[in-house]
Amino acid sequence: MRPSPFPSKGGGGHHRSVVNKALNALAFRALLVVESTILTIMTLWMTLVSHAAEPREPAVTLLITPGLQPSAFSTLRRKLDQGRHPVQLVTVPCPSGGREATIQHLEQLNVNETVVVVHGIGVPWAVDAGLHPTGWVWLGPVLDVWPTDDQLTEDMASRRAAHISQTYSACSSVALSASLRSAAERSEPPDLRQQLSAPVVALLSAGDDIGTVEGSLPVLLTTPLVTVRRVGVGGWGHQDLDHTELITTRRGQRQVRRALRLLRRQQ
Amino acid sequence: MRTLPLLLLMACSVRRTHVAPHASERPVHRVRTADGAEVALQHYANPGAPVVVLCHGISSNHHFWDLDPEHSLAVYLHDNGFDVWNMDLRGHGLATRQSTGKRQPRGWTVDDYGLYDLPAAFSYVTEQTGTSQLNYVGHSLGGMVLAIHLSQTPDSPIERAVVVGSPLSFHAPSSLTKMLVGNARRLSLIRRWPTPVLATSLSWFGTHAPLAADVMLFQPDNMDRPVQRRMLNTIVSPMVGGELRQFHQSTDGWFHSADGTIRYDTALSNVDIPMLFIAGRGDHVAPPDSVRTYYDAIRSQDKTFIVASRVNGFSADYGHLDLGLGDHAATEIYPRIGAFLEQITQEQP
Repeated sequence: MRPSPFPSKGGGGHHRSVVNKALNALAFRALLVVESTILTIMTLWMTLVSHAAEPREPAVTLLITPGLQPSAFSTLRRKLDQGRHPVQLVTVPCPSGGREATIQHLEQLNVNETVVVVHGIGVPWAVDAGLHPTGWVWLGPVLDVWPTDDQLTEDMASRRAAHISQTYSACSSVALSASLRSAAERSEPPDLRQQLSAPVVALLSAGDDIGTVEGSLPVLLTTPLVTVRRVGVGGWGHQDLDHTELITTRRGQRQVRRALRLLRRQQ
Repeated sequence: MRTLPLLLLMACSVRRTHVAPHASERPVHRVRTADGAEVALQHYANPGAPVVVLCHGISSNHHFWDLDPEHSLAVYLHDNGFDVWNMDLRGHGLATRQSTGKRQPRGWTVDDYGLYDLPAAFSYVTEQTGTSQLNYVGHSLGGMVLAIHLSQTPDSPIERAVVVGSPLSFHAPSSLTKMLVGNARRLSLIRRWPTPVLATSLSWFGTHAPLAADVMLFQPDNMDRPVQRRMLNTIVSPMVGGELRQFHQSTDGWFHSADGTIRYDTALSNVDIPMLFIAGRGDHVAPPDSVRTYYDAIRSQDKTFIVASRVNGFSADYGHLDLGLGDHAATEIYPRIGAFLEQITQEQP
């Protein structure tokens, strides 16, 4: 056997080279881990920053129904804020100057590129004002208040009037009743097909005695752009919502956010 | 786990449909239909008085209109001068089986109630009483089968009718209706649904019923607990697959015939008899909008639509079953039905 040309320095040389290789591999892997961690953190950071800067949820114009206290809308507004919807809050004045004055006020609004969330008697007025949002969410719309008004006894009529005055207490009951009455005294239900150009999600509650299901559903069914959802009893819900509770309760607010998601999918 | 099936079996074994003790002296008439089935009519006789036929709803029986003396439209109308016939449609209550003990012919649908059961009952009643015209009160499905009958029978003997919580459309349905109509074809594969057992189980839950099952059917605040239990243990009869199969045709939101060729709201455009419609604000089976479809469908000028709600002066927002059996039904619902039907008595010479 031929001897090795390299001088031998003892038995430890082979072991050192193995240890060096292992250390190198370890250092390389550690570097990879550090690099990938930094990259992940940077990606996450960039995502978070871009997410915060540009909300993906549609902007919302929330119309405060005349006659209702603005505080009734504060929780809904907060929920929409939390859902990253930029919210424009608009107070609709009481119809003391007549229905036309209120509609003229609404006509000044710029609701382009927003979804209009509107409730109760505000719905027919907002539609009559010719607003053109990207979508609508209607809560308990008052489209046909008393479909069989001629059959009401005097007692029933006065009870209803009292209920409306109590619900819409922030406006003079006389002016508001006159407006509601004019909405109800149409000989035919409004033809929404001519006035609507954007999709609508209408939320109705069986427990609503003002924007009643029997009054509004026949009108809504004739309009192709409208999707109707019932709110209240069903699934785990054990309680119907009245006209105001559509705005003030968590159940109603959750349905508004669902309606906004539905509109986003439709668009 | 073994106790649950045992309890269900016990519930099955203890329930049977019978004549309520307070009505035991009332005779029961059995009438054969043209297609070989049989209906039962319990008679609260008042000879010579205006005649009224009462009809129950889906998965129910004659006890709905006569649960006990305090919750009985049959007794109320009888005491107020009517000759009352309380009907069980085929497969329900006293007509679960035929008088011979044989089963009713299989495979019937809701159409068969309107096309065979009602004509047979009306023909028998007019023959027995010697009158040519009669009045009708139907709850829920009982009103829907009247729509079938009126749309297909131009010479119907019905002079005045009251429908209580009867839907003729199912738009934007509640979760219960959605479940029933949406899955009607699958559900109809089971020939007889043991709804009496489910109702008995529901009566054990009380106000803790899962998935709002109680509130879907009645307003618990508008009915005493003992009445709720008695109702759930008495008025429920099995639901049959054929009924559900017909509802499969209603996925577009309208009530159709079993073969899908007739939409009953449009078929009612020639009906011009006086009618009273009563809907409950808290009714989630036949909400007021679906009853209004019925109201809008008939041509009659003499028609009245009432929503039983607090705002309209009632003591509660009535649910589907409490329209007939609620705590105050005897003082708030029955008198309205009686007053509407009494108009015929006043008009008669």
